[in-house]
Amino acid sequence: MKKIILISAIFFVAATLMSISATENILNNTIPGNEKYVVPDDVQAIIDNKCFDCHNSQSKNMKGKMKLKFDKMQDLKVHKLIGKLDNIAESVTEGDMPPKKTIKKYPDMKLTPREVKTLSDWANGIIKDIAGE
Amino acid sequence: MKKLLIILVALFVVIQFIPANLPEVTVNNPDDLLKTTTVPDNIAQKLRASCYDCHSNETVYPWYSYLAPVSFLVSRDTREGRKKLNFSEWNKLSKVKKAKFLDEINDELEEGEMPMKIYTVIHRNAVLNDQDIKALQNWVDDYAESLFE
Repeated sequence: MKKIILISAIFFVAATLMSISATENILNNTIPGNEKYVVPDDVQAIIDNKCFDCHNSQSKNMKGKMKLKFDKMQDLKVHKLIGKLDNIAESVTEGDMPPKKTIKKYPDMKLTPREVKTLSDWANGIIKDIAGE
Repeated sequence: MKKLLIILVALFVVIQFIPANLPEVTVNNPDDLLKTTTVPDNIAQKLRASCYDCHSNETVYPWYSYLAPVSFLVSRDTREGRKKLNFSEWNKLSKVKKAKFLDEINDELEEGEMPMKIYTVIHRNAVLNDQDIKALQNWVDDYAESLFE
């Protein structure tokens, strides 16, 4: 009986962990060596909904995967991280991301002006903290 | 047949009068990457041979680039190349923008997107082999890292 309870407890914990890992994985919610850079929920939600499908390490979109993997961002060295973050801010601000092709097929993927601002402010804020510019 | 040939020749002559507006060449660029940064010789030479025709103000125009319709293509590609990234203006960029471009260069090399095929087909000395690509990628990475030390 004790064994059954223990096994089901382990199962319960494992299942819970697995279900949250899908979102927790992105950025691990921290930036390397700078645990203070927590990804705020509103940023996380935009990434989850509009970026992560292509930009993750398991993506079938080779180009998207090669350029940026949100689930591997915590492994980047500082200079790479700054380059990627600046590119995120720039490409969403200029309307280059998500790609026009994607938006044509899935109009809901388009970033709203508010989402653009949320993402770029977040990216630029971290850059400013790390690089001071 | 003869008529078609005459029409083609006439067309060729006529389009020569359409200005191609090839982007201007400037040799003295104080903010140029190679003037403002210490770049190893082998890397500098690769950048000049494979990138500088479109990504700098020092474009070397071969004779046929003055002939329409080639001139139209060269004009467009050079203009777009400089607009995207101009090594002649490099030192005007912030450290952060430099890091962004260096990372993008790395990705373009990885994908084999640059230099463009239409360019390397004619400019054989601009072709980058695997060893050149690795060397350039290592250099952009080292250089970007040095910016934040």
